[in-house]
This record gives sequence, C-alpha cells and structure tokens, in this order.
Amino acid sequence: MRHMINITRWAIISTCALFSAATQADTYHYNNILIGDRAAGMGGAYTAISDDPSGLFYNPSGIAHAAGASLNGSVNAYSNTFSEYKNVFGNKSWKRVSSGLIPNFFGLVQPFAGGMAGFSVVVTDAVADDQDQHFSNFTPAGGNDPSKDYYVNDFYINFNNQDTTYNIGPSFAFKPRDDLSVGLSLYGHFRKQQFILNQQVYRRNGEQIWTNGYFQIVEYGVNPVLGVMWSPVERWSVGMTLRKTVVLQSNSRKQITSKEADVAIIVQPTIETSTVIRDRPLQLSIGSAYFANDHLLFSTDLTWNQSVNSSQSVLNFALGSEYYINSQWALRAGLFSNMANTPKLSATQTGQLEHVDLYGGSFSVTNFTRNSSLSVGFNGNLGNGKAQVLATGVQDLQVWTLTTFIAASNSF
Amino acid sequence: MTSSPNKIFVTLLLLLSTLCGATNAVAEQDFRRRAHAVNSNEFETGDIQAEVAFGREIAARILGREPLRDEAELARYVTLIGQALALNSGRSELSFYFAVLDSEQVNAYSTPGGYIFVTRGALKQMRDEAELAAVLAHEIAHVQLRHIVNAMHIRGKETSGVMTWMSVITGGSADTAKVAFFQAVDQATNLLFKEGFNIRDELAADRVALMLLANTGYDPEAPSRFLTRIDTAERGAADAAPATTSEHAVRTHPSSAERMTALTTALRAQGLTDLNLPRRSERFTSYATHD
Repeated sequence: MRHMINITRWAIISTCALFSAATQADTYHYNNILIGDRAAGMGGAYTAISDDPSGLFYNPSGIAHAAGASLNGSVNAYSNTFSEYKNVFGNKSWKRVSSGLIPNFFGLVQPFAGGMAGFSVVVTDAVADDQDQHFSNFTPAGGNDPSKDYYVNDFYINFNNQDTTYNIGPSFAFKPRDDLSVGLSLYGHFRKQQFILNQQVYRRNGEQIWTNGYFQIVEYGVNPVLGVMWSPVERWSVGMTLRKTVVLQSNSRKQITSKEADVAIIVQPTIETSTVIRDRPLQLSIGSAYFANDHLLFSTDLTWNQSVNSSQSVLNFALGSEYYINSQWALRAGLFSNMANTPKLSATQTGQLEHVDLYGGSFSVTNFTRNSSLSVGFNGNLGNGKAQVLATGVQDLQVWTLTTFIAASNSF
Repeated sequence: MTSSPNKIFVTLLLLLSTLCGATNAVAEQDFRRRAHAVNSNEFETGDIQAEVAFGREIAARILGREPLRDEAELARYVTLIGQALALNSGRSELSFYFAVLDSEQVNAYSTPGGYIFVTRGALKQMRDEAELAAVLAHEIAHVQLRHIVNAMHIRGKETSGVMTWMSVITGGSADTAKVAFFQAVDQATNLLFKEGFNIRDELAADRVALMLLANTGYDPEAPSRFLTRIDTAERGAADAAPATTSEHAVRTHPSSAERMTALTTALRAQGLTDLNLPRRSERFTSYATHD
C-alpha cells in the first residue's frame, strides 16, 4: 500500500499540482473485517471464547472446547464503505464507495490425535473501492505560479482499488489440563492489490492534463497465530493470541502514463518493479469472557498492534454479549474500535496520510436447530477525521461502513 | 510505543509453562455450554436410524478384529439373558443383539444401536449367570445412556428444510457429513479398543446396570464379585506374566477399586443390598463351560 500511496502522490503532483495522497483507508486500520458468525455479532470480542470454527482465526486454542465432534461454518458478508473527503474543491466533496460480497470465512474443526484439528479460509481484509466523479468550474489550491490561470472547467476522476488478503491454513489445539488449552494456526498469507487511477483536467486556459496510473502488488507469506485459553475460576475464561504476518515474497509493478499541461503528446509509460517486502505488525490480543449462565455471556478484548515502518502502534477494544431468548434463538451485540495507525494531521505539513479513528457496533440474530445454526446480522463503524487529498491543506473526512452477513454452521 | 516481539514471545512461553505446571483451577468446562445445546439432546426417529447404522458399522469392525465364538448354544444362552435385561433398558425402539467373541481378552463391548459383545475370556472369569448378566447390563447401560452417541454427536439428518437449504446456499453443508460419519466410526472404534469411555460414563453405566440387574431378577452384587475376581486375576497375571493380562480391560475402564467403591455406594443409595436375588451358577456352568 505504501507503494500505491507514493505512486499516486508522484503522479498527481507532477502532472497538475492538484492532488496528493488520497487512498482508501483500509491499510491504515487493522480491524476492517469482523471474521466469523458468532464473533461478528459480538463485535469481535472473541479471544476468550473461540470455541467454534471462527475461533481458528481469533484464538486457535479455543477450538479445544468446541462442543460438537465435528463442526463447520461459513460466513458471507456484503460490505459497504463510504468515505467522504469534504470540501475538496470549494464546497465540493470527494466521495468513494467500497462495496462487495465477501466470502468472509470458512472453517472446519474435528477431533484429531487427542486434540482438535481445523482448517480455515479467512478473508482478513477486502476492498473494492470506486470513485467516478466529475467536478466543474473551480480553482484548486496548490498552484505554484501566481500569474498562471489554474481555473478548471472540468475535472474527471475514475478510481478503482481492489485489495484482498487471504489467510488459509491448518490449526491444532489441545488441552494440557482441563482448564487450559493451547492452539496454533499456521496460515498462508496471500494478498493481491490492483489499483487504477485515471484523471483528466480541462483548464479554462485551454490546457489539458491526463494521468493514468496503474499499480499491482502480490504478496506471499505466513501468518502464525499462537493462542492460549485459561479458566482461572469457574465461569471465567481468559485468552491470549499472538500473531504476525511475515511476508516472504512481494512483487509490485507500477506504471504511469501522462500528458502534461505544457506538452502536446502523451508521455511514454514509466514502469517500475519492486520486490521490497513490507513489514507487518506483531499483534497481541488479550480477552476475557464471563459465562454468567447458559443463556448469557459477556466478553471483552484488547488488541495491540506493534508500530512498524511509519505506522504507529494501535490499541483496539471490543465488547460483546450473547443472550439466548430460548434454546432456538440467540441475540448477540457488540461494540468495537478500529483506530488509525497514522499520525494526526498537521495543517502546516504536506504529504500526510489520512487519519480517522472508527467506532462501531454489531448485532446478530441466530436460529438454532439440533445440528445447525443460521445467523443474520450486521456490523458497522463510523468516524470523523482528517485527510490531505490535495497537495496542501487538510480536509475533513467522514467514513462509515455497514456490513450485513449471513452465516451457517453445521455439526456432525 | 516501542515493541519487542522476542520479549513478548518469551513472556508468552513463560506464562504457558507456568500455567501448564499449575494445578487445575477449574476441572470442568461445562460452563461454556450454551443454551442451544439442549436441542441436541432431543432424539427423533432419524436419530435412532443414524444410531443403529453407526453402531452396526462399529460392530462390523469389532467382528473384523475378533471373530465370533462358534458355539450356538452359548450364543443363544447369552442372547436370552441379554434380551431379558434389555427389556428393562427403556430403549424399546432398539433391537438388541448379543454375541460371544472368540477372544481370550477379558472384556465386553457395546456399540450404539444395541450391539453387545462379551469375550470368551470374560466368560471364563465368571462363576454364575448373575455375573454374566452384570457384564451385559453394564454394556446395555452404555447404550441406554447413549454414551458413544453423545460423545460422537451422532444424529440423523437435519429435518428443517429451510435450514438445510440455507446451509447449502451459504456453503455450510456438503458431503462432509459422509466423511464425518466414517471418521466418527473410526473414533468410536478407537474409543472402544484404546481410549475407553471416560470414568464418569463408566461409573454411570455401573449405576444403571445395578438397576437393570435387580429389575430383571439377578443378584445386584454380582458386579462387585466379578470385579473383585478380575482385579485379583489381573494383579496375579501382572506379577506372573504381564503379557497375559487383559490389556483392553485395564485401558478402557477406571480402576477396579474405584468402581467397587462406587458400586457399594450405589447399592446402598438405591436400596439394593441384601435382596438375595438368584445367581444361577448351575445353569451358567452348563452353558458356559470353561474349556
């Protein structure tokens, strides 16, 4: 993503001095998708529970407590993210929408070799970001020649960013003691991003500017997840998970094609490739759950992400609760945060990454039969922050996300 | 905030080793069980069919390991006693089958659906019909209490059409059920021959067996006598030649002392002491000759 930011900034600044870094916010946060069925309904506060297939991701040690002899579960989610960069051109706002159906999770657990083994496929992050906008009749900030007429008659922007990260791999958990379980998931990490930005500027003075940027990155790596769960006293459970994605191979390619204002021809594309490997943060989650009775439980998580490269360390919280109306119906609700790993913006600096802290809630309803369950729910988050989509100045940024999901679980 | 992944890993490992070495804070994890689990405790016709199919598959595997004793009169005798006990089991929907395995191991097996086996080696250790009934009653109790069915979560197909349909749509159901069935058979076979029932299930089967014996008219103290003899034999065999001991029985049951203590308590609690119910040693000897 850092490559993408650089390419965007380079392309835009060098061509028309209009726009600087303005990319989708997702890599600036670590809690973009709530994984699983039960966990998603509880705001992701699942580190101390994790006793169903989605536990393979949250805390693999939890599957040692899975109720069924063999379980599988899947979740499909439809997610919408709306980002509005306010007053970019006068009172005109820049709007981006990300939407798509995400096969969020599939997992299977079953007894094996005195413990529980599992296999899961997790989409840990997915963006399908689009912007198709037309602005007219404005004078942008950022022109560096006071004698020049920068007034824009028409400005078109077409932006598309597809960025998906998959974790796929086996897990194993066992109980060295009745009140203690240990588990490990060894995920293979795969990420692919494709990014296209096309801009056309028609100035009042007759100048025309066109820029096309294309960026692709493919990453392969591993993501080991080590989990522990312990019950210090009756009805209490505490869990801890440690994970770190280690990128082993990365190949990126960026291509920029442009027509500058003061030339008549399109410049030949510049193509750059890179194998630079990005560092990813160590993540530590600590959770606690109180099983009040078989109808009610409460859980809470704190997740810390290490500071790596230019990103800051981040601490997120999650609170969740589950209540069974009866043996057939359960309600779940949760609150969570999704804090930005970027520094707060300064009005005097340039080239700054956007910063918006998000706070969200979740709710789901589950119907149980003897061997299966079906859940329908939603989760969403909302936040106001700052961004710098032009070369200078700071804009207000509002982001909200709403995800609806449907999930099924079966036991055999 | 500065970070040190190595320190965090070391801290985690130290914490793990500390936890592993500590004493159990909470022995049972039943508090994790949620309210929907009660749905799994209701049994329908399809569940019974699944139980019988599952038990039949395991029975076939047992017979693949240990052949039947080719002795028709003995088989008929054991079956009659077993059927009499099964009448009091409360599982009238099942057809119980009883057979003698041609094995010198001292053991007995039961599979879901009512397939009961007792070994020739076990018969040799018995002195009367009540003791044979005690062993059969213990195995019937495992079936009555659905110990394997519950442990393996054996159930019939989902009967809710909407749920099944939605499960398929969302990818949550597939032919994995068939795979899971045969994997569960493997696990159940492993449970019978290697791991054994947990102690709680064994002691529960002992308690239920006492009532089956008494209700059928057999001496409810027969299990204690048989266990005492087995225990003595095993101790002697272990001293003399460890290889001849009943490996399965030792592995798959709690200690004899533990069971006898629990049996004594249960006999008193259920008012089954001093009933003077028959043992029928003569009839037993006439059928179960110790060749």
